[in-house]
Amino acid sequence: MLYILGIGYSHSTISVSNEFLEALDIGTNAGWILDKIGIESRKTSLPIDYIQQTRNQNPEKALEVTETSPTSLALEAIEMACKRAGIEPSQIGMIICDCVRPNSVTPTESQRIAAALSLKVPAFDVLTACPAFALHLEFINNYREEALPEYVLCVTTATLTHAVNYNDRSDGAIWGDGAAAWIMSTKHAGKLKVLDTHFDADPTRSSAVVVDRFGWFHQDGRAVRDFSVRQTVRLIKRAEEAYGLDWNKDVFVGHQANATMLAQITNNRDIPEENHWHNVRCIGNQAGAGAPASLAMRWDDIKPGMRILVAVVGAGLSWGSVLMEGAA
Amino acid sequence: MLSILSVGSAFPPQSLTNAELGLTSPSRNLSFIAERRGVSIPLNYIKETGNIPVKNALSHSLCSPSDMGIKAVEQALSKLGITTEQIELLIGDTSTPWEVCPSEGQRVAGRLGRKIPSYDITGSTCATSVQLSTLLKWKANKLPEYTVLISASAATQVINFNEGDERFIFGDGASAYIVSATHQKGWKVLQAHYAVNPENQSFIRGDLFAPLSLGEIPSEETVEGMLSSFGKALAKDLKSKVTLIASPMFEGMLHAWVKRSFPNTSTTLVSISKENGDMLGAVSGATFAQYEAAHSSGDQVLMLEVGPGVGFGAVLLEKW
Repeated sequence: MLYILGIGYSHSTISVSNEFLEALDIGTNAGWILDKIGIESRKTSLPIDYIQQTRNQNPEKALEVTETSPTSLALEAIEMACKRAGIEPSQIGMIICDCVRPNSVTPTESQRIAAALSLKVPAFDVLTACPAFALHLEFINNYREEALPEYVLCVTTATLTHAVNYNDRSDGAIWGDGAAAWIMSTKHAGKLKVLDTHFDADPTRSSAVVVDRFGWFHQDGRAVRDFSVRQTVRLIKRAEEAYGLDWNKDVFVGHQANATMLAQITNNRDIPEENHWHNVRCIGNQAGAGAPASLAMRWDDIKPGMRILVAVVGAGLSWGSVLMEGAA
Repeated sequence: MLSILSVGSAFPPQSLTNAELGLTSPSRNLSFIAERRGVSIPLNYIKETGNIPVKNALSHSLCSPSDMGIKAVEQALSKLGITTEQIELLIGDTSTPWEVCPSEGQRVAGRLGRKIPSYDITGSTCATSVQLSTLLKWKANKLPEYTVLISASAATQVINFNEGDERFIFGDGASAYIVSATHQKGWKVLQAHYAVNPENQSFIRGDLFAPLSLGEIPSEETVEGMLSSFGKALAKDLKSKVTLIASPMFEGMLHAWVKRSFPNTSTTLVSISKENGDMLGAVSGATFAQYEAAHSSGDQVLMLEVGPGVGFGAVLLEKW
């Protein structure tokens, strides 16, 4: 049996409000943003003055104006995850990481984290962007139990605001910076028992969401939105049918792409607001970190017997789900 | 038992010598210097610009990592006699992506027209060891009939050709393995190991907007210290003779370590690095693709990989 022993999160501290984006005079306004994507503000590690003056037209400069990196956010999330799991980082026996936009493509993000933690363990990246939580759990679930170390660290981190063109009225409103990390084990029981994992992809549509190495994020917004809603609903129905979920007591966490999309999904499945955990309204879309960070922010609310479905979609195009149960 | 059923490789459509590139001698004593390598940006462009800034190379390049990855997959499929429709899982790797999202595996699977689970498992240049060591630890029922493992590298697209030893070392290429736990033919994966030692981790560094840069190469003592953690396990299965494939920058060092560590095993080092340069994660697979047919049943191949991170790995194969 696979358990999650602790989850941590970290977000950048600078807020970008809808009013700020309206003041950029790029053909948007605060009311339109709230109506269209339901995001009130988002977190960035870029100085507000930098965004205002440059609109991040040269994303290379973004790396020069901030000391926050995907790695630094990840390390904060890891510290919280380890504390919650009751372990020291030195006990971690394997690291896998997803980073949709690293500051350096070589070494890997996982290897940088291993270096920061002074760990001589297998460390490699397992990459699929937004559905990282589902991929990582499915990935670890594939292992024979005896082949896994005592504690596995999974991380998903990104500072995607560094890759945003703030002259684009849509992209600037979407993204936030964040990281999530979780400790898993098959040898020690923890707060969350993993009941089911699922991951799949349709790579023939992989060009729908792209982050250029030397450029910005760009996507086919309408196509991705339709795909995201439809696929998330399918993932929820799949779990409902297999496990008889009861949304009066079970919890749903979706990909934190935008709040109106999540509202469409929860309305479709009759999931009440109190059992829908999310953070996108105040933090923005944190790529792979959004869903696990939302879970981490409600860590203390997880009760024995409570079932939590995380259903995530994104670049690739790929999607997946994880069903967990609060352990006694 | 996990098996490599087939392996393919691909290189850019252009080969250049150091002389053609206008290169004379490196500033440091490197045990490996390529004489000819696949370079995926035109010679005239290199001479005119030195490939600076590196971000402009993409619009001048002759092919992308994914282009080479696809050709390598097609070659591996053709050798095995199966079609793209039979691939059920595709795992990618690149240290020189054109896009940091989606993953290389997803780009290649998409262009092959496959709607299948695909993602990257990447440990910088240790692609073969990190990917095979992962699959070797999976439950047998989690592996589909045919899985494709790709590594593709276009390092020359991020080289500053105006200065530095990096100009002498790197070449471009891709490799693709077709692996299976269902079919028992080709090559048995007897062992696969991978770990990281954070010391000297940035001896090859690929910052997002910067040319690929070479730092201090890990010492013989460091590399041998890392590999010795696999030594005992390898000794259990190594026979009296083995073909060695080693990361180009460490070929001599790794060959010497094998000879010292396994004195009862006769070792033959094979390499394509003089002709192709260091292709990062694609080296082991592309070298194996060139030499594997020359082996008979029971023959063994040992792959030793050392790369940024510092990642290091070992894979021991035996022909069915």
